[in-house]
Amino acid sequence: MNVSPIDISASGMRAQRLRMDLIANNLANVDTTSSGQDVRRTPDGQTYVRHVPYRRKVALFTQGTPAKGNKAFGVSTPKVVDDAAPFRMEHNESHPHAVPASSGEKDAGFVYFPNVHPIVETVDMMSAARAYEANLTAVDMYKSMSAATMRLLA
Amino acid sequence: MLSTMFDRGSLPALEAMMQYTSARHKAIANNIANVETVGYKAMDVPTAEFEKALARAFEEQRRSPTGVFEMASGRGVRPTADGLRFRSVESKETGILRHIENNVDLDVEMGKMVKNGGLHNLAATLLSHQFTMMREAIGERVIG
Repeated sequence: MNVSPIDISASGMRAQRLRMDLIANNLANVDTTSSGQDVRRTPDGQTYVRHVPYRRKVALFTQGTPAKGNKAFGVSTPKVVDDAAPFRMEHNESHPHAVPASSGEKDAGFVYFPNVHPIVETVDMMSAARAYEANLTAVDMYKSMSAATMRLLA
Repeated sequence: MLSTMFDRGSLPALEAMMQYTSARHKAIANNIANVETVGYKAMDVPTAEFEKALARAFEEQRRSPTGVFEMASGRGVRPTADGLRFRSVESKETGILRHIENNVDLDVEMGKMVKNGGLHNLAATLLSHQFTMMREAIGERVIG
C-alpha cells in the first residue's frame, strides 16, 4: 500500500474536476426540453410524441481505487448517475415540446423542463472549486516537504 | 543490529519524526481527497501513541550507556526494517451537520497539514545541521 501522497491528491483533483464537468453540463442544459423522445399511443390508437427533458447528472464518489478496493488511499468516481428528482412543469401549449392536446393526457399542454436548479449548481460549483484548491494545496505542501528532504542530500 | 554513529544523538529521533510526518501527510491528503465521499470517516495516524513511543525512546536513550536511540514497538507504532509503520485510526467526530455521513472538516485538515509540513521541514533542517556538523568533524574544518 505504498502510494504517493501526490497520487492521493491527484485522485481528489480528478474527482472534483469530473464534478465540475457535470455541473457545467447541467448548467448548459438548464433549459433543454428534449434530450430524447418517447412515442406513445392514446387509448384510441393514435400515436403521439412525448419529449423527455434533460436529467441532472451527479457523480458518485467512493473511497479507494477500483483495482484495490475501499481500503486503499484516494478517491474514485465509478459512476455518473441521473438525479431522480421530478422535472419542472410549465404550461405552454404553443411550445413545440409540449405534451400535445391530442394525447388526452392529464398533463396535456405542459412542457417538462430539466430538474436542474442553477442555484444548487452554483453552490456545488463553489464547493468543487474549494475542494480542488484544497487538494492542490496538499500537493504543494508535499512538494515543499520532499524538497526539504532532498536538501539533506545536498 | 550493528550500531553506527547514525544511531546516536538526535539523528534517529529526527528520522522517526520525518517518517511520522510523511505518514501523517498521506492520511491528511486522503481526507482532503475524500472530502465529498459519502460515508467516509476522517483518518489519522496515532499521534498520541507516537509521542508516547518517542518519549519512551528518549528515556531509554538517556539511560543507555551507548546512547543508542531505538523506537520500541508500541500501540499503533511499529518499527520495521524499512521504517516505522503506523496504524490508521478513524476520527470519532460525528459530523452531524453533513447529510452524507462524512466527518471530514476541511479547515481542520488544512490546519493539520500546515502544522505537519512545518514539523517535517523543521526536522529536515535540524537533520541537515547534524550532517553539516558531522562533516565538519570529519573534515576538521568549518563548513559554510
